[in-house]
Amino acid sequence: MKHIVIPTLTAMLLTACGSDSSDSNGTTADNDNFTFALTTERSTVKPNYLITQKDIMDVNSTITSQGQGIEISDFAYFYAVNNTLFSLSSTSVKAYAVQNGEVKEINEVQPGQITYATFGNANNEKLLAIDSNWSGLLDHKLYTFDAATGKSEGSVDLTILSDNSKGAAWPTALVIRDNELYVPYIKLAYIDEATGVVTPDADAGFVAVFDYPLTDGAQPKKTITTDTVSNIGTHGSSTGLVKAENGDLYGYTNGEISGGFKPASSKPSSIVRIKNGETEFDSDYTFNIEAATNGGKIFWMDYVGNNTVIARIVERIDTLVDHDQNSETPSIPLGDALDNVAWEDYYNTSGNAFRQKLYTINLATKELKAVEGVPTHWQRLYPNTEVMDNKYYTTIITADGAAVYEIDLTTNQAKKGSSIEGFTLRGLQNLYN
Amino acid sequence: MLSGKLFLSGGIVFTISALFSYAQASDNDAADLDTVTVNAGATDRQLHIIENSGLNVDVIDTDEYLNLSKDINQVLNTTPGIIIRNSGGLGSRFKLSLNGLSEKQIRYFIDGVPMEDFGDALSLDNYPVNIVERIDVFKGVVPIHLSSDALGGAINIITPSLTDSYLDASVSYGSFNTTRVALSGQYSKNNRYFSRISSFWNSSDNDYEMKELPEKDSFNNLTGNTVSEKRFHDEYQSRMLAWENGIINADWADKLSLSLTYADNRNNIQHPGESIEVVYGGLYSRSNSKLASANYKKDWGHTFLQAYVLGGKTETTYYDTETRSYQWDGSFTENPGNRAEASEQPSILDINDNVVRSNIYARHELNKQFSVAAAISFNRLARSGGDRLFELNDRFEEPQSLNKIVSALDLGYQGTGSGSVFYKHYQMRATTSDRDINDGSEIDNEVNESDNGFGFSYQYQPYSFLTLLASGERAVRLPESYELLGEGIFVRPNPQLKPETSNNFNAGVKVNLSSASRNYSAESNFFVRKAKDFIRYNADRINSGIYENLQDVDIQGVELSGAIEGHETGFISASVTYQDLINQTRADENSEDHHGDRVPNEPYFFGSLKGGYSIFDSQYNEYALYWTSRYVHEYFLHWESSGDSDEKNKIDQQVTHDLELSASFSDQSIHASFSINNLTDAEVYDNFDIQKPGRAYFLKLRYNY
Repeated sequence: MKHIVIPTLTAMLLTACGSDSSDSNGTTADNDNFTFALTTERSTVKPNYLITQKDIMDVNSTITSQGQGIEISDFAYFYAVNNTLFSLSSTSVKAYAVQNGEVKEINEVQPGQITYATFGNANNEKLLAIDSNWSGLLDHKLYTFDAATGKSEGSVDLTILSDNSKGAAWPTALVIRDNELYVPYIKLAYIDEATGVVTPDADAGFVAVFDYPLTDGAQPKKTITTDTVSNIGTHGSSTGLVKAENGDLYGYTNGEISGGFKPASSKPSSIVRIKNGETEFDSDYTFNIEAATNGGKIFWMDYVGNNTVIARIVERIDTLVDHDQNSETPSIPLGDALDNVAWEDYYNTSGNAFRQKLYTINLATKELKAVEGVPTHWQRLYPNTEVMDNKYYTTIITADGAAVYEIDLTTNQAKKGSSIEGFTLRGLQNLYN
Repeated sequence: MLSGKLFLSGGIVFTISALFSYAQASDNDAADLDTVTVNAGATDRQLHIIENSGLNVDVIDTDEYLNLSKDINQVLNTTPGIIIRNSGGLGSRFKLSLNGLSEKQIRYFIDGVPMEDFGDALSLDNYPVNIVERIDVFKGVVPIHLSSDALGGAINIITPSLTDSYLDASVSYGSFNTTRVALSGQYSKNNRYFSRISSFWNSSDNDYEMKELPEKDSFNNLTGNTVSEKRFHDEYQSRMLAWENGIINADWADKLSLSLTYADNRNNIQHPGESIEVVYGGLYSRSNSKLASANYKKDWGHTFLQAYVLGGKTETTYYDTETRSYQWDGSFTENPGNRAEASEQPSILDINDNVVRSNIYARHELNKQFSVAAAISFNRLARSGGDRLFELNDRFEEPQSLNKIVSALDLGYQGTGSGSVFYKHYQMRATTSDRDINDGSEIDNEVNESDNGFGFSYQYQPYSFLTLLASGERAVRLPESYELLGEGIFVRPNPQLKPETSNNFNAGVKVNLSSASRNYSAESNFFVRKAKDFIRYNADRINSGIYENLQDVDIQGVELSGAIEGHETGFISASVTYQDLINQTRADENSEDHHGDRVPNEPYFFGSLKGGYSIFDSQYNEYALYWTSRYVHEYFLHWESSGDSDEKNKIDQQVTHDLELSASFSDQSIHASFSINNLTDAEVYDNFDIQKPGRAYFLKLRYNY
């Protein structure tokens, strides 16, 4: 009867995206326990059930929340640091770890309403999280949580863009190298009612560098830029920039409308590098992904150790559903104008959404190989994953439903595991090792 | 083109109805059976028709509540089949569920006029009982004089009848600085002219204790302990003044009147509707409503005609201008990046509604057995608005309108039993004006829809003490304009959206027995609702969503109630409702399937127990005591079968007791009462984690003449 119509805007919708991996050092599990959040509903991306079970690779069984799992009501990001798995909703941050042999909630923080955007970790001891939004958040807060206790250690104010008149920054990674925090970002600006939010500088890459630990009111000591690629990362990703064991930083770019850019970048989807000890992009290193994959664009990537990432690459296809029409509208040919497609198309599971492929990329050698045995699929909520026993686990969503896949990093072969009764798994970790 | 013609005809009907000028709808004049008035013949007949229609209807007389500190919601909440869930005190958001269907699926009327979009100041919880004479609750099957798209039933509030001159003034004051004033009066001259006012003024700080708040350290980590804090930003005020003038008992009209209503409110919002983890200290809303209506009614004996036309304007504004994050102790920190409390930037959002309603209802008795009735109603809503501060929020910036016409026919029967069969036709047109992004020119979007419903009701009295009832309807709820046409950039249009429909069926037994000293009554109703195509928001894309026909639900339930009434001294009554709401929706491949499961976050087992006792002293002063207990069984927040049952979120069982004492002096014209709500100070919740008020005391004084 009574409706409180509050323009909460779409903090939830806009940021309804996944989490990413931190602990990727390929350790051998002491115990074959998989802990993950099972998100049951696609349309609302909630509730989630935090489940721990031994086997997720039985192709004849399903992963289900029936009678098991710790209920997490709200939409949440899942991000693990060391052996603590955090769930971060806009009003509550809960930490889960093994206590007396069982995965249990070890702490909860209720900090008010925060639109977390991006996550990272400090020395595998602390979770870092930063907030952002689309309508011009110019000052951000960096929140720190202790992995051992799950407790909040407070926040510091920081500014990423020095010029407030030109728009907002959406961070796409938080990477600490030595005593510096690297924050790549997508630049956003609100123009007017008709135009809405745009990406005004889509033809340049930016990484803000801060002294770490940050002091309150921190400003970048330097902003690294390049005009060879687009903004680094995709909206909602926390792995726009990753750190290799030797300290080299690699960033990917997407730049297409379906990756959140408006207008699209004229620069091809690529990988760039900041070498250890340097604070500029490596002018000798650009890996043009579009050239290497016949027009594909990286949508997401996950660092799995040894200079290697698993990348989700959007295949180029020339027929798309007109997103303004209903799903019954026949596909209309758009020639090769992939960039003309509104990016929302990409997040709708109907029509031609299922056009992602997995690739293994050696960042140092620019060697790129399609992972064998994975169907083309769709995934917005990228499950953050711990590499276990040199195997990488991920959810693959197709028109037939979702299933776990295990990718053997040695052979580059994928194997289908259990079906998922629900939408996807996120935050897949072994919290026992 | 067809729809254009139909709308034209609707317009003509509307014009005709305007010419007639008219009527408070339906049966607002239905007088209390023992208040015999000049025009009571017609109105008694209306009430008699309702009570003998076979419909599953609860007719709630407010008489027994007039001296008590109660609003309509509190009265309805002890009615079988109804459960009202509150997320706070006076003026807070509430959800009324009737036989398992709720919100827009239930339609509300005041004197037969649909109340939807009348603004928050005129919602049910604002109305003190003193300006209401009767409440008719139609469950599942709605008679045609309330022509509307009600999926699950209708609630019609009926204001006092056109009796002689009278005055009723009451004031109640109590816990949480809550004041409720109601004043209504009527002046009648020569039994020909009347003028009456009815008004209320409500105010509350709603600063009740929240007893189970988590204690936090300086970094907002929960310590595991709980603390108690008072709500500090939940003040509510509302007021209403209605003035009606007219002619009664003329040859050509039993009643012809003109009525003006003004109402407004201010509502401070302490927290979001679904959570207390976020606390607001500045967010509030204001609304005001201005309504004008003309009403006509005439009973020629075998023919009855009534009509009304109403125009109104409601303005609601949400103020979200503070850039702070509050804690429950009232402390706050400044937000980064100019972030407001509920939206991303400071916002003042206006929503302006213009409504036009008209209805004609005519009934003619063909002979002693059969009657025919017809009704046509026209309902228009035009909505506009916009955000004064936050440019990116373009909600309601494109004006939208929604026109609905419901026309209905009814054939009534009175012979071996009584009842009727009826048919309803629903027609709607929704339009929106959009601006072309390129050249700014206007683009008009229009969606037309129609649907049909039909039903029956029948009752039979094999013995004087026993009545059997059955009724059924294929009911329809038409989509709202924003559901069809979208809203701002975040709700995309869905012209393919179908109406919600429900096949509703009721079967009941009533038993009434009398002895020299007591009346015994018992009633049992079995109800079935097969509801399809519930319109739900689907956030299917990263930055927008769409309303779709997403959910089918089967509901089966039973209501039992019984009462024992002494002729003078006391009564005891009880009711209990059990309802199974079973999800019939098949999930898509990307969601967990819960086909066949109980719908979560809906109460399914509840009941109440009431008792009263009164005595008279030698001066005929009356002293009375009332007791009300209420029970709601626990229910889960999410699907019952998902998750570890020990870890699941649930809404705990509720048991509350209210005690009321009242005294009436001086020929029953001065009354005083003292009420204790939630006597045991139980911590009760209707919504997960959102505590309702604890023990509260109210004192009420009433004068009537």
